[in-house]
Amino acid sequence: MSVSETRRIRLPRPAHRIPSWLRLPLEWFALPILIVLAWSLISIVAPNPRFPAPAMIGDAFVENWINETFLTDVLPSLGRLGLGILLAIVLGIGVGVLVGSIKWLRELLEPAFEFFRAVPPPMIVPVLVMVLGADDTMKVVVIAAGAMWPILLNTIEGVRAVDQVQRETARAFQLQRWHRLCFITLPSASPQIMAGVRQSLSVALILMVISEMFLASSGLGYRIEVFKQNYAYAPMWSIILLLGLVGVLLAVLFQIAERIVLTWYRGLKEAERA
Amino acid sequence: MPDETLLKVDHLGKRYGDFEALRDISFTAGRGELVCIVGPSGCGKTTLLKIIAGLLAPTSGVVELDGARVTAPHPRMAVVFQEYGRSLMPWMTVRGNVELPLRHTTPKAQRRERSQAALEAVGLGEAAGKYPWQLSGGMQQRVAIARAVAYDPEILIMDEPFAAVDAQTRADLEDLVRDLWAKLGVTVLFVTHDIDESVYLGERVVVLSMTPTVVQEDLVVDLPRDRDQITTRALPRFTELRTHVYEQIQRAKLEAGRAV
Repeated sequence: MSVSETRRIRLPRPAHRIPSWLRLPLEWFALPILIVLAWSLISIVAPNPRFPAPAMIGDAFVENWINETFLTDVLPSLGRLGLGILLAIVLGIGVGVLVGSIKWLRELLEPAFEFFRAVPPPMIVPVLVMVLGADDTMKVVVIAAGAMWPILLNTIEGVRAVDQVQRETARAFQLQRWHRLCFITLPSASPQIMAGVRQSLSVALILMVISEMFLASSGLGYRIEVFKQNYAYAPMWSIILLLGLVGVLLAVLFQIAERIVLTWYRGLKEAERA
Repeated sequence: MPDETLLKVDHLGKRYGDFEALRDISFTAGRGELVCIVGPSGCGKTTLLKIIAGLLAPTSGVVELDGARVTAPHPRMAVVFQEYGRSLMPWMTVRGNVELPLRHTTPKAQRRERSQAALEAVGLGEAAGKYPWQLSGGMQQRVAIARAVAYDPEILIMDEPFAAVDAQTRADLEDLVRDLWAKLGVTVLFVTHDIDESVYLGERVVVLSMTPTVVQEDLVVDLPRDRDQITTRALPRFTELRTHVYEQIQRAKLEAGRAV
C-alpha cells in the first residue's frame, strides 16, 4: 500500500468578494472603528463631560500612559498579572492531575472545591490583605488563587476522561509513570485544560484590577480610584481602553499558545467531520 | 508443530460477580506458532486476551510465558487492540506512536532505526511524519502493528484487529500478518470472530464455546505454509476446515441455547 491513500483535509473556502489580505483587519477593526465614529458624532451633537469624545480619551491615554507611568504603574501590574496567571496554570494543572488521577483524593476534595469555587474571588481580596498585607505577594496570590479554579476543575475532568483504550495501551506497553503523564494524560487533557486557561485569563484580569484597589499606591486599579476621586472622566475612560487592550493582548497570546498546543486536536476534529 | 511451548493457558476462569464469563480455558502456543482463537461474538474473547496480556486478573487458572506466571503486562508481549483509532495517540505522529513504548528502554538513535524498520515492514515507511488521523483505518491499524513489532516482542497478541476495516483492506492486512509472522519468527495469538479469517491465518485454531466459555476444539490447520488469498481459499481442504469450524461454532451456540 502506498501513502497516496492519505486523506488531505481542507476546509471549503467561503466565497468572499473582500480580498483576503483585507479580511482579517476588517474582522478585527470594523466594529471598533464604527463605535469610535458613532461616539465622536454623538459627542459633537450632544456633548457630555461624563462621556468625553474619543479624541479626548485618546489624548488622555497618551498623556497618562505613554510616559514613565507605563513603567511605574502599567508594567508592574502586567508583571503581577503574568506571574499570577503562570502560578494559576502551574497550580491548576499540577493539583488537577493529582486529584484527577487519585480517586480517594478526588472524593475527599471535590465538595471542598465546589465550595471554594462558589466564593466570588474578589471577596478573598480583603481577607488576603489582612493576612498577607497589601504588597505584591498578596496581589499575585489573589490573581493565582482566583484564576486557578477553572484550570484546576477542567484539568481534573480532562485527566479523568482519558480514553480507556489509551490507558490500556499504556499499561500493555509498560509505559513509565512519567511518560504516561507527559505523553498520554496531559496531551489527552490538553483541550480541556486550554478551555480552562481561557476562562481563567479574564478572571485574572479582573483580579489584577481589584487587588490594586485596596491599600495600593500604584497600579491600574489604584489609578482608576484616584481618577474617580478627581472626577477625571477622560483618564478613567483611558484606563478602560488600556485594560481592553491588555485583554486583546492576552487573547492573542492565548491563541498563539493554543495553536501550538492543540494543532493535533483541530486536525483530529476536522478529520472526524470529513 | 513446534514442540517447545511458549505460552500456556491453564484452566483459566473469569467471573464478574454472578456472571461466569470464562469457565475453563486451556491451550498452549508453541514458540513461533500462529494460533487463532475464534468464537461466537460475546464469548469473552477480549476478556481472555486481556487476561493473557496481563491487563486483567483471572478468577482461577494461570497464564504462563516460558514457564513463568504472567500477572501483569509483560515486556515480551505486545498487544494490537481492536480499536486502532483509540489505541493510537492522536497528538503524536506515526513515528511518535511507534516509538512511545521504546522511550524508556532504547536510546533515541536506535529508537528511530527500529521505528523506521517497523514502519517499512508494514508498508508505511513514508508516513512516519503524519498524524494517525490523516491515515485511513487500515493504515492506522498498520501503525498499531508497527508499534507492536518495534517493541520486539516474543509474542504478538492481536484482538480482532481487522474487525472494523473493509474486506479488501482486511485481506491485505491478513497477508501482512502472515508475512510478518514468517519473517520475524514471532509467536502470534490472533483473536477473531471471523471463521474464514481464523482458518486462513492460523496454523492452529482454538474454537471457543458460548459463555460460560470453554475450549470447544483445538484444531491443527494443515494448509500449506505459503498462503494466498485466492488459491488457499479455493483449496478443498480450506473449505473442509472452515466448514468444520463453522459447525463447531453452530454446535456451541446450540448447546448454549439448550442450556438456557
